[in-house]
Amino acid sequence: MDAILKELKVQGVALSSDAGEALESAGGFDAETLCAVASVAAGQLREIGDVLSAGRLERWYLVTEQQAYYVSERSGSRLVAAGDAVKNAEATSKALHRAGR
Amino acid sequence: MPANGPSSESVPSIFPGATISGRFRLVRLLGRGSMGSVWLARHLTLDVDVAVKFIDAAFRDQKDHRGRFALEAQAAARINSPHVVNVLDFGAEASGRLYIAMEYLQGEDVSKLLERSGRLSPAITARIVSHACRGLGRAHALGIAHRDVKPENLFLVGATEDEGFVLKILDFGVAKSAQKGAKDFTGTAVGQLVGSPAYMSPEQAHGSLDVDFRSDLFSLAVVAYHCLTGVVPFGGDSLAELLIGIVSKDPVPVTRLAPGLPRAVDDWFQRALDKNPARRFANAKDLAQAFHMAIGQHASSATDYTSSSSAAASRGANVARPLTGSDTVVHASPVASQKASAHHADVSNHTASSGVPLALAQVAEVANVLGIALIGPEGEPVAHHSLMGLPASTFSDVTRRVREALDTFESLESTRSQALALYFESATVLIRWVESHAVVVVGTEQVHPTVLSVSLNAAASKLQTLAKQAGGAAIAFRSTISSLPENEFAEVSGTALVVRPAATDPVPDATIARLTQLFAKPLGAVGRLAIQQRLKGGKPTVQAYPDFVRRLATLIEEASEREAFTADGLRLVPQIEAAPPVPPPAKAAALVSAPPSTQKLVSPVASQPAPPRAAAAAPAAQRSALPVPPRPPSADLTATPLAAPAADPITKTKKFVMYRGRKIEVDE
Repeated sequence: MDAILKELKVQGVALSSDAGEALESAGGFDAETLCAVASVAAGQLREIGDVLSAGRLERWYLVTEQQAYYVSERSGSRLVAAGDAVKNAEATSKALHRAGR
Repeated sequence: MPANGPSSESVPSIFPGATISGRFRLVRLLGRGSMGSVWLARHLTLDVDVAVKFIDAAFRDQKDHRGRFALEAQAAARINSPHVVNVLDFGAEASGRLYIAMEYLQGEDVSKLLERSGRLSPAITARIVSHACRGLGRAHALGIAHRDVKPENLFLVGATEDEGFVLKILDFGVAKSAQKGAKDFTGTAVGQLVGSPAYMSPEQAHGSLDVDFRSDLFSLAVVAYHCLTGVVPFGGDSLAELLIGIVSKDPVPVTRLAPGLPRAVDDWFQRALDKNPARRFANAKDLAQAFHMAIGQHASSATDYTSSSSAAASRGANVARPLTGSDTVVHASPVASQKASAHHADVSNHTASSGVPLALAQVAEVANVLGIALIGPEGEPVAHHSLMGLPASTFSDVTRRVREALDTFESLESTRSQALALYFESATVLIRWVESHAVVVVGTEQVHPTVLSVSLNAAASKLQTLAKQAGGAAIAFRSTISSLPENEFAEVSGTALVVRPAATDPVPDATIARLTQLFAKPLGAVGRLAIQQRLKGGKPTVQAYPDFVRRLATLIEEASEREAFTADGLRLVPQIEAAPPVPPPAKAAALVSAPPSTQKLVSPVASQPAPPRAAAAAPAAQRSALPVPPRPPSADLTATPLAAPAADPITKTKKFVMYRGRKIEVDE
């Protein structure tokens, strides 16, 4: 986690179970809450894949006025990260998805 | 020397060592252009080298040319761009001959570089386009059209090998007066004044006098084509043949001549070289940015471009330009607003129109984008654009689900969401929120995320500007929509009638969308356009569909791709000759329950084995090697079915249900 945190230059990174339980984390952020929220959101976002027959949700990110949240979906788990709001979140999202694979 | 003196060659005042107007001493002749000669000279006060261009006596004596030459020199001096040669002085030497003193440039022009290199790298070409657009954009903003953009007039100062050059546009405005005076392009001295016909726009080739900045952008696209491929897009054995090509023929896609380039480059050229000026890029900045995105780079600086259209118009330029967003807000009609509030608009065929349609169209043109929509605060579609037939309701559905999902994030912070990206196995969804509206883009998994993101940001920015200028998003967005077609399919919920398509029924939109995807695999944007062209007269009937597919297939050069397309295309619609007798209406009409909206329909394509004949059309090895087209959302929702082979009668009764307004074949 520390290595990913260093590479991504974000506030925090966490490994979550599919159910939203924080398994491991690094950085100064509320990992438990983010893992739980990401789990709920991911379940609903997956339905969009069903609507579009687009297959498995692999990664996603959300940028708000203050924060950027990155999620990389894995088999039975997910990697989540939180950082400052940025214009180009794509690079961080990709890097998170690559991390640990 | 009087103004009506002898020709330039015999005028004694122009020779090495001669002093011009007490300011410059001529050093040597650098070259001769179409209208005169260019000399290297020394500025006597500043002690620097300058280039002095003299207009030939043949033009010197024409009052019209003198006036235009003076005006253009003044205009060129006003441009004041690092990418336009700097005009230092303008005047008349002792004989009355007009001259323009310019900065002396050292390097080579693009034409020389092309002679040496044959073709140029995408990076160098992108830099040429970028710099030229900055210079042209500044000029266009002043109402000045160059009208003779060609490799010889694009001068590269500095090293070209490492892309360290700075491009400067030469001969600014001079060609305008030459063009005005030219009656034909037959290679006469007058005709030569307009430069190389190979770079002319269709309007120039027509001899139109109403040539505006869009002609420059067309010519620049021709230069870009030349740079990337080593050949010009339009050619011929005679001038007449060349001009016919410019006004009526489509160029060979760039990717066929330079296979390593992305398909998006073809799309870019298709727009940049459109015969209709209104369908081209609206200004130099848009053209350059789109080129960078197509070629896989980002425009290095948007701030150096000057929007040509609005500024040119404000200065009274003779410009019949596409409207910008700000224009359309001003001209919004209450009727349009009222109508738009009741229906959403399909803006797929309104890429040249203004405001919202233009913003959406620019994103929709990014390679591998399936569709884009603007969804209102209540989840209602305001406008949507999908060449692939994705219905607006799909975008609304996606937006609603996203909103529900993101509600949970409110526990983290109270700020509003700005952007969301979802990457699925075979689709990409990007959403940008603008003034409570969502701009939703759906693409295949092959869409370039960064290119799409940049393009979407640009569209969002335009929409934001629109909203600010109009004092509200709802007014701004709806007032710019001009087309409000009726929904083709009514929404059906709960239950639906089981029906069988008749031979004379048109094939469903979803089939066309799926067929377009299949056709775009080997042919890219050209394929999509080819289908669009053929659909202008209406969709084929179920009966005519096989012929429609086979005719399309003839456009595919590669045999294996052609066969695969034919086989896959034919499977999209049942072969009506193989259908069993139509049962009596009472038996045919049975009510079945529509599946819930979240239920994923099992596509017969996946669930049934390939029919023997279709499989035989393409060898198994070839077919397995073919890339599987991403399943279009609309095609999956409607589950376009496998048909039995034409000669093998279908023994099983097929059922079609109406699901979300579309016919879907289901297994019994």
